[in-house]
Amino acid sequence: MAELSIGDEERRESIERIRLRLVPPNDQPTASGNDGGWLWYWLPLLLLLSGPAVLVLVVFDAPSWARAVPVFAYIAVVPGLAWIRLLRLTDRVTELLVGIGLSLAIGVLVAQLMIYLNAWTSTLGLSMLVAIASLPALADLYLGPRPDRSTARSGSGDAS
Amino acid sequence: MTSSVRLRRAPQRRPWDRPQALLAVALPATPPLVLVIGIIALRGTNADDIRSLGLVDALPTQLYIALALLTAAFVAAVFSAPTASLAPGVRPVVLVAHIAAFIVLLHGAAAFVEPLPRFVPAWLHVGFADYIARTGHTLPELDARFSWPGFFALVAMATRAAGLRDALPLLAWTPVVFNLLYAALVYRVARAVAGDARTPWLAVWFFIPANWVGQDYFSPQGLNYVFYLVVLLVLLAWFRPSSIDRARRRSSRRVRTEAARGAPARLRRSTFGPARRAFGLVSIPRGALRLEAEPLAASRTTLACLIGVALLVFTASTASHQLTPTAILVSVTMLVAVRRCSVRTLPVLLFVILLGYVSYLTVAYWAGHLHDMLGSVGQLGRTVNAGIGERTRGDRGHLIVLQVRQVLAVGIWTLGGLGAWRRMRARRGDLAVMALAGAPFLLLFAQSYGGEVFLRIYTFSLPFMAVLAVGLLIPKWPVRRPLLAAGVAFVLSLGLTGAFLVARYGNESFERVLPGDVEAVDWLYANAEPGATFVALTSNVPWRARDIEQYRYTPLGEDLGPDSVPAIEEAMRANPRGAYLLLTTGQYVWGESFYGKPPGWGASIEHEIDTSGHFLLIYARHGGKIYILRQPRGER
Repeated sequence: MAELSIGDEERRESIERIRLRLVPPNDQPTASGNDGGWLWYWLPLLLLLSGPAVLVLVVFDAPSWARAVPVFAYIAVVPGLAWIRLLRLTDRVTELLVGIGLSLAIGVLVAQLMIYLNAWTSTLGLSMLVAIASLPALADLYLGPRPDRSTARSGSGDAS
Repeated sequence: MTSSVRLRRAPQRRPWDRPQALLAVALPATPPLVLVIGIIALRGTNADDIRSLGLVDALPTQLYIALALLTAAFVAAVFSAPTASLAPGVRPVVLVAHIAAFIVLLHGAAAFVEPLPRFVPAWLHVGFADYIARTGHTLPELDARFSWPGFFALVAMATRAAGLRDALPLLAWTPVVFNLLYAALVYRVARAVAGDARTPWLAVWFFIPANWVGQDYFSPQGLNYVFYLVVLLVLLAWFRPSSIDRARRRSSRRVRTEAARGAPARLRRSTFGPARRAFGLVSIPRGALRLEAEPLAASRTTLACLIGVALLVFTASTASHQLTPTAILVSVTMLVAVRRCSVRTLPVLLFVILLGYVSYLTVAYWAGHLHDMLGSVGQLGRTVNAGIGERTRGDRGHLIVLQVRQVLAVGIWTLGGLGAWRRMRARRGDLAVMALAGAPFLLLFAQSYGGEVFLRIYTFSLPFMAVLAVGLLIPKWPVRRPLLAAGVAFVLSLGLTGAFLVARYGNESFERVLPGDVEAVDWLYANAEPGATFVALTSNVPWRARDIEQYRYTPLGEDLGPDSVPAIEEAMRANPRGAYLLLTTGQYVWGESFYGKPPGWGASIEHEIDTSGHFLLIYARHGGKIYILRQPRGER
């Protein structure tokens, strides 16, 4: 078989890319991952209100069976997710995963900061996390749902 | 006219329609069914049947059948339709349920079988977190891990806020939680680099049993593996060069090459035509990397924020583990070196963060351990010896486990290498994945990490090796023989699962924590005066899970303690505030299985102690004994 010239090869590559939908739809406005309407508000509202709810459980010393799961879930998910949501990523799975990673990182840094500042109390640590999470959640509510062009999916492996 | 005829025509029946209807019913039912069978089988397992080969000696056949059924269902779901996407009846949530059931049965097996959380080092980490929770301080002079206290501080804050006395209730299920998180991240990483719908699912399915190393227990490294995957996910998803960037670079390089050599590359290469054709059977074709996946498009602001996220996660990693930040730094540097990360200055930023933390916040550790940190840099031979030679010891069962681990590691690396080659042959090579699979091997030149460096290399390369290994079965979709690929995937999964049970739980005879041992330790803490020394024959004792600063411990590290009567006596007399000798079954099993001590070694020392007349037995229950020294006659 005769070798393809470089031009032929690039043409074939382009065709293959289009066939595989590897070309990012940069020029098409896409949904921000939010449904629009009042239903959109439930997640930022949940992120905002879960903080005070968890703090109430801790401050009023609710039994550990009642507060352990909410506290762990809050620390592991909410602070990072609240910030990541501001980036308006279209892929919810990625948003959640990066949000969890960021939450755990924020938790580590806040806890360690309290040690270095000689200001250790678990309630203070949790309050700091609630403050860190509430700010972006409020901003999220203020900004509201909007179409977003910034994070369009490139299409690779999206068929699943 | 034509269209109306088309509308009236009955839809053509495809050969895979009927199996799909069957799958649509059977697939959702499989995970709960398998989970019930598996949990019943595990709950019915007697932990006392655990012998030299660990949990495998005790597991019932029903569990193996359940795992085989789950694997068959998963593979059938993934390969059920020849279309580019998965079959219409196969919803992602059903595949997620399969994966969750797989993780619960494999990584939660010990939690179902054993009455107490396994692995003594995890108990020690509970003690570290407990100290921070009580005092708000660290103890870097007591243990090096306190110089990287991020994980312990987080746990201390979370457990106290949750109203728990300590973190012990979290131990048993931590591996399951971590692995669910790892699986989701590996799926997303694979989706960012794979061009078909099946590779991410299969990569996760291979990753779960291949992750036998056991770094997912309640530990800083377990958490830091999440950080590692998050940083690399961000870079792979958003910061790869696009095809346009790569084509532009190729084009400029070609112009430079042709200008330098004076002839078009294509013409020169054609002179080697016959040789190239012969070599072509195994060679990698031109353009093997040209169909790499595209990065996600994002605005500059979003990209800047994502880099901020990566830096923050890296900082948390730097503050909570010694090795993982180095692994992240090496991997990111490798991505930049092969031009698969567009933020060329990122390694410098990461290095500055790492250097800053180590220079200022770990002084208490490195001031006395500089040789430990830097002594093995570049000492490849010594590192290999510490990683393989010095760890190959113990009884026959332990040696078999070590061999299975070595075969499994080499097997995964081989599958990854072959998969990479096949993907490149199919022009679906991905340089970023190959670089990330290979980058952790550079850690060999850094340090031996207490002889564990091979385990860590394996762990850090595993997500990418799993993606590449899938390339062996599916270099691109559609594959030529889907039935063969499905069969190989099934057999490979079963092999990995079987090997996992040996490699992961093969040391369960001494890695499980015995109730009798814990009972003795509890008695000790309840009755010993603060400041006393606790002496044991080996470090395999579930102590130091609380009040770590109030007592002294011999041995302190992960090794053997005094193992003769005079040595024990000397260790106990060294502390004028009193000492207690603790003998437990877990110590004897550890000595025999891990260190290759002769059978009956512990019982003979116990006999010597009983007959020496120098020790007074003050506690004996369920295999645990506690002695104090008798006072010499002249001192009464």
